[in-house]
This record gives sequence, C-alpha cells and structure tokens, in this order.
Amino acid sequence: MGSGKTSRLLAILFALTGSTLAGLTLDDMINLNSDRMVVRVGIEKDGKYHKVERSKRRGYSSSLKFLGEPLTLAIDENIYIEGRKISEIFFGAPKEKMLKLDALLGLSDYNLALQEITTAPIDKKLEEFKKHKEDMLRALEYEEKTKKLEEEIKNINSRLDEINSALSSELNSKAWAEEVIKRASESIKIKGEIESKRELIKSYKGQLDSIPKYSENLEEELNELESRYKAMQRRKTYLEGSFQIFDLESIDKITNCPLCYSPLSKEKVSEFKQYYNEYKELILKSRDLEEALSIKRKEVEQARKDKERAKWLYSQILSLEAEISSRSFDVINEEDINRAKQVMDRFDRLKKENEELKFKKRTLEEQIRDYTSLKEKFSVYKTYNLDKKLEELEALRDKIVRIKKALEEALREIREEELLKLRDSFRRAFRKIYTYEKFKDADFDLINYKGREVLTLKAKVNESWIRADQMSTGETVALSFALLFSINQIESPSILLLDEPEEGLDDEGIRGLAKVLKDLSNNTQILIATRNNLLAELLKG
Amino acid sequence: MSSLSDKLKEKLTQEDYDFALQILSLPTSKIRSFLEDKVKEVVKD
Repeated sequence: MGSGKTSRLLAILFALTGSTLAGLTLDDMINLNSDRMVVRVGIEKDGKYHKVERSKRRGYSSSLKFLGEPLTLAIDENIYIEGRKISEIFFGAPKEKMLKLDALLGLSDYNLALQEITTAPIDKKLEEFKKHKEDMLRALEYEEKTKKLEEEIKNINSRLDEINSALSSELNSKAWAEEVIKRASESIKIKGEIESKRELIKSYKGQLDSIPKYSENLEEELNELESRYKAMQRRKTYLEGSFQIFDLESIDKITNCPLCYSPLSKEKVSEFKQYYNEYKELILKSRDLEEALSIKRKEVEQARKDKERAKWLYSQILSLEAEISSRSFDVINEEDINRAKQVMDRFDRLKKENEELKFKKRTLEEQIRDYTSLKEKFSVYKTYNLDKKLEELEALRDKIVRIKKALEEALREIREEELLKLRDSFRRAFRKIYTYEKFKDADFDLINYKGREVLTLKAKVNESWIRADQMSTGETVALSFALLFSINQIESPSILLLDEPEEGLDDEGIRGLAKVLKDLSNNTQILIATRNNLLAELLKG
Repeated sequence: MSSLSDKLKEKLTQEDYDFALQILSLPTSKIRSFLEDKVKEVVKD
C-alpha cells in the first residue's frame, strides 16, 4: 500500500471493516510491485487491548486474524468520510449552502439513467417505417388506379373500333349526302341570286316609270327661242346704234341729220320716235324671252339626262333578264335533303366522338405514365414484414415507456421514504453533535432552485427558524456534519476516519469544524488526515 | 439500491423488470446506444 495520509486511513478502514472506498477494489490498494498487503491495528475496548491483522493477496479474498484475544468487529464501512464528499454536496455560493438532494440520497446516477432512457431512437425508426408503410400503400393505390385506367382505355379502344367500323360503312352514304347537300346549297344560292336580280329589275323598272315624258319637239322649241332671242338682240343693237345719234328726249326739235345735216322730214322724225318705242318694248320682250330661254335650256338638259338614265336602266334590265334566263338550278327533294342532313349529323357525331375518345385515351395514357412513375418512386424501399416490425417496435416503445414510468415512480417513492428517514436521522444526529443551547432544533426544507430540487438547512432559535446563510460558518459546519452522518447512516460512530475534512472551508469554517470535532471526540474516536495547519493547531489543543 | 429493484419488481412484469435491470446495470453513457442496438435488432431483415 502507499504511505500517504489517505493510504493510512484507507489501511485502517480495510483493517477494521475489510472494505475500501466505492470505486476502488482491494486489489487496487496493493502496490504494483507487490502481490499482497497486510495491515495491523491495535484496538482498545473495555479496558482490553486487541490486535487485529487483516491481509489480502492479489486475486484472493482477504483474511482476518486476531493476534491475541478475538474481537467482534461491528464497524460500519461508512466511517470513512472524504472532505471532497463534504464539499461536493454543497451547491451554490458559500453563503447559500444548498445541498443537491439526489446527490445526498445517492439517486443522481439513477436520475441520469432516467434521462437517458428515451424512446427517441424507437420513435425515429417508427416514423421512418410508418412513412415506408404509407409509401407502400400509396404505391398500391397507384397500382390500383393504373389498373382502372387500363380497363377504361380498353373500353375506349373497343368503342373506337366500333366507331371506325361505322364510319367505314357510312362512307358511301356520306358521299351521297354531301353531294345532295352541296347541290341543295347551290340551288338555294342560285335561287337567291335570281331573286335578287328580279328585285333589281323591278327597282329599275320602277325608276324608268318615274322618269317624266318629255315633248319630242323640245329641241326645236329651244332652237326657235334662241333664234328669236338672237334676232331680238340684233334689232336691239341696231336700235341702240341709232339712239347714239339722236337725243331722243328732244327729238321733236330736231330738223337736220346730226351726221350729214340734211333736212329731216316730220315723217322721218316720227319714224325715229317709233324706233324708240320699239326699243323699249324690245327690252321688255327680251327679258321675258331670256327667262323662257333659260327655263327651256334647263328642261332640255334635264330631258337629255333622263334620257341617258332611261337608256342605262333599260340596258341593265335587259342584261339582268338575260342573266336570269341563262341560270338554272336543281330541284332537290325535301325528303332527300332531310335524309342527307341526318346522314351527315350521324357521321359528324361519330367523328366527334372518335376525336374525344382519342383525346381521352391520350390523357389516360399520360396519367398511367405518371402513376407508374409515382408507383416506382414509392416502391423504392423494400422492407419485408413491415407490419410485424412496426408491431415489435411499438411493443419495445411501450416497454421503455412502462420501465421509465416505473422507474420515475420508484425513485419518487424512494426519495420520499429516504427523506423521511433522513429527516429523523438528521435531527437525532444534530442533537448529538451540537451541544449548545442556541439552536433548539434543526431541520431542512426542499426548494426548487434553478430547476433542481435542493435541500436547505435551517435551525430553530427560540421560536423562529433561521437559514444557513443566517448562521455562522461553524454552526453551518455542525449542521452539515449532522446531515452527513445521517446520509451515511452513522448516527453514533465509535470511530471516524476523516480525510481532509477542511476542504472547501474558510478559516471560520475550520474553527467551527474543530469545535464540532472536539465535541464529537467525547464519544467517538476520530482519526483525521489534514493539510490545514489551522485545523491541526486547533485540534492539538 | 436494493429497494429500487424491489419497487421495480412490484411495478413491472418479469420481462420488463429483467429488461430494466439490464438497462440500469449499464453505465449511463451506454444506455442510449444500448437502446439503439435493440432497435437495430428489431428492424434487421
């Protein structure tokens, strides 16, 4: 074995109890360059001295020997307390000594195990398999749909054959019907054209009738009027020439010719006066004649136009009548026309149905291709006995759930039971460790701190309870030791082995610890391994 | 903790109990992989 402080304490533990620390085996304690260990301790009991020798050979059981009088060793292996254990169970800031409950009760590992027991890997696989199953069902669905579509296409093909057969047999009838309908259409068209022409002829004739009848002598009348007008103009001009020579206002006084100065007779003068009256009359007549001439000219012009128009209408009428005469059309039997229409309707219906069915067939074929592609996609996973595997996974999942639930319940029950025991044991241990009057009682509370259940110590002063942060370090140490004894189930140990109990304590805590240990030492033998000079000094006294 | 196994025995069938002990006997870090192996056993063809 080693020769350090801890090794010595462990050696004493081994000698007194035959055990070692949790996590170590007895063979671990044997030096590597040896195959056995031997520990001898002297024990004084009831005034008698006993020597105990316990040995262990690597790979063999340990053996106990009494060198002298035998002795019944009934010492709990929990007498060994590591300072690390004391500081480990404290949690949080130094002033708030809260103790992790599950760590105290030794349930931490089980709690960790509980967290690790999960249905997650099963759930993941179940989801995956359920998806596979869905995919397989979908693939089957697509297969069924494909079959139905194929059946439908078969029916369509059958009907298409019927239609094609009917169309072939109706070809001659169709040709006849087309001819009948064509001739009937042409006949109707020609009839229509003839009718239009007749209407036009009627219209033209109407226009012809509305042209007024003119006198045949109209030109002659115009010519005559123009001759008269010209003659009148000539006479007028002559007479105007004459008036330039004479002053007609004073013609009665004229005796000689103004040109040649020959004497003018009264008869001659009177002749000129008549010329004047004639001129005045001529002026009036000339005006009337101009008017008549204008009217006549318009009449003649209109007559010419109407004549041209009549000529044109007449020629149109003749032309239309000639066209009408030259056209001919077939007279088709009404019954034949109806029958031809029926033939064409039936033929068209069959053609239409043929086209529709072909279109539908193409659509269905496309759909079948899509379904086939989808079916292949969903048939990718070949899992055999899928239902059985799903069932087994469900069963495994249920089992895990049951186990987890049972474990939770069991841990809860154990925690409650242990807490009850711990509370009683703690209060009894406290009475033994703490001999002062100040604290009338001690207890602990369970609180939830940052999601964890923790234990907080409290003590009763007079009628009020105070918390650990309201106590001195020494008082807290005393309470902690009482709790530690309770946890280790060693309420009244005869011997205690403390390995560096000062760990985690400040000087005040160490003073408190020293006081507790001194009090304890009244009834308990305490062996301490320490590196703390203050503690060593305090305990020496 | 023997009381834990007693309590589990009361709450579970023998088969479940045996399985639970199997799990609890493992180090915590191995539990998850143990369960994953169980799943693999079920699903293998």
